[in-house]
Amino acid sequence: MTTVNDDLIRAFLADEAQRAVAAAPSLDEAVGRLAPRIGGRPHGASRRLIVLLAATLLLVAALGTAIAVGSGILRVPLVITDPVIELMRNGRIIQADFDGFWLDDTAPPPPRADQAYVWEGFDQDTGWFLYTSALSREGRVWVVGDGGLVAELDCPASLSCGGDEMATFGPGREEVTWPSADGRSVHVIGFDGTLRDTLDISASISQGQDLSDLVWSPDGTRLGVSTEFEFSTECDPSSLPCGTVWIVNRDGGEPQVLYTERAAEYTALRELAWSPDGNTLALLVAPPGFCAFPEQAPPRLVALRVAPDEPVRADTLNVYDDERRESGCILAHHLRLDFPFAWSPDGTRIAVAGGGEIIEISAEDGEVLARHPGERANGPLAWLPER
Amino acid sequence: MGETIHPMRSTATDTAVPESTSVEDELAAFFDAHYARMVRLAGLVCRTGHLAEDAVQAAMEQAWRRRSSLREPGRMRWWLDRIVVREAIRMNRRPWWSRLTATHADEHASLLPDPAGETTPQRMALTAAFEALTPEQRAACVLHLHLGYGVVETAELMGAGVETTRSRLRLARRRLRADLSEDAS
Repeated sequence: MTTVNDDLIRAFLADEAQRAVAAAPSLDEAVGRLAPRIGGRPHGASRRLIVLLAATLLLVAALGTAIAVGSGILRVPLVITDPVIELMRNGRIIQADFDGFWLDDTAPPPPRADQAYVWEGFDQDTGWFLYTSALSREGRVWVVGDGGLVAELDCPASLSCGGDEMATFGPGREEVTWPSADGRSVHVIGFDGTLRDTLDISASISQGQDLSDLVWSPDGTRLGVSTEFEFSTECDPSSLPCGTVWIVNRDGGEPQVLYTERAAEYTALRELAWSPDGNTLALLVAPPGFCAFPEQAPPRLVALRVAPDEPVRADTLNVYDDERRESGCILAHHLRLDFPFAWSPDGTRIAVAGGGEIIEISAEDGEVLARHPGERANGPLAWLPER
Repeated sequence: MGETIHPMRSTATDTAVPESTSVEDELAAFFDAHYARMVRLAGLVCRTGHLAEDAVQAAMEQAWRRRSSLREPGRMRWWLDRIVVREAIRMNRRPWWSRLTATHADEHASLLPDPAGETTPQRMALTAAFEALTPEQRAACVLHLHLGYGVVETAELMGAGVETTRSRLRLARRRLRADLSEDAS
């Protein structure tokens, strides 16, 4: 019997790697195939002329807009035009149309091709958006508001931050919470770049699971935490849950389990979102992050009722049964793009994207209350407060 | 009107290519030192020449378009590895119907003529066992065992948790051992 050890695997991989290089096209061939997609760029004098014309047009547009806004002729909604492409639904629900990390030839390119941002969070109280780089784990986030850039934050050099995609507003107004690289603690960082606090949340990380999402309650007193096994094959639901949702208090202690998932076909618990009154924590419960055939179970929007002095109750408000057929493989890393939802400012409704439209459902029982048909974008939703 | 977000730092990917060169020349200069590595990584994760080629192409396009976000030239290898491995995994996740329409005529490197005569039964068994791993398990093996990244770095490259990455490596080793043991019995 052959003993497979790491040395044998390394030798095998080295061999296979050489074979892959031998079979692959040359760099010239690869470049020849790529260049037409990249496209040529103007050089020299023509480039300078184009830059000059573009700058002139931008200046005219900016002056014109400033005059129109100042005179009240033009009422500008809260829109991030770069790189989010706005799709107004009922006047207050907006959706990004952005492919996220992957560059997709079929999607409109972002206005600035050399930068790519992902809309990670939205705060209804402040109207601020939280962005991360499309190349995750850059260790940098941007906060953008109605008036433009509010803050640009780097993970302090003395810390080890991970999971930019899990960065979230709070607990304080001008604070962002970032998970540590090992996902066992979270760092609270002020907009001034200083470390305000580090919370140990290891008590809420179940055995073998990893942190998958976190979000502060609107009053900043409780932190919602979700953990999961990424693949159902790695957990035994008969002995351990495959996914868990917790809340911890302001100092990271007193972990309380709100929800455990023991169905092997559902192991992704993500996109935590508190209701404005802090009595409900909504999340997506979805299949594991790879194409599981036969067909994957449809993702669900679940509301966890956590009102004081009442037992925790889990209600399924929406099942994305149509979307799974449209979107093919359900990928846990893309849930916020493929199955987005957003609380209304008054907490009575939730906007859900699905079936080629955006619908408003009751936050109480999931009843469909309104429909907004139109071309479906691929990105997160936000419900803007009334002005 | 929303404000355009401007990066606060300069980037470090300006290649020393004269203004008058073509796009092809610029691309070749940018990827010259790294192309073979990208091909090896994609080839090991994808396991078919067709998918690996597509993964490398997609990774090259992404890297080129986002080259200004690379701020430290010394990180380019890590930066490219991250793009390539994620594209390679994504290629393996394409909808089943797109795989049905893909050509089945592409040659796998391990099926090429083997002048050295190294395609032993053990080798073939290991090849089959490796191909039976999930793309994520293969990627974890390649990054950790072939490219030498630590477990934490491997997790970062794949955008996965550390425990998940450890599990993938553990399962991959277990499956490789089991398959070869069955073959030998």
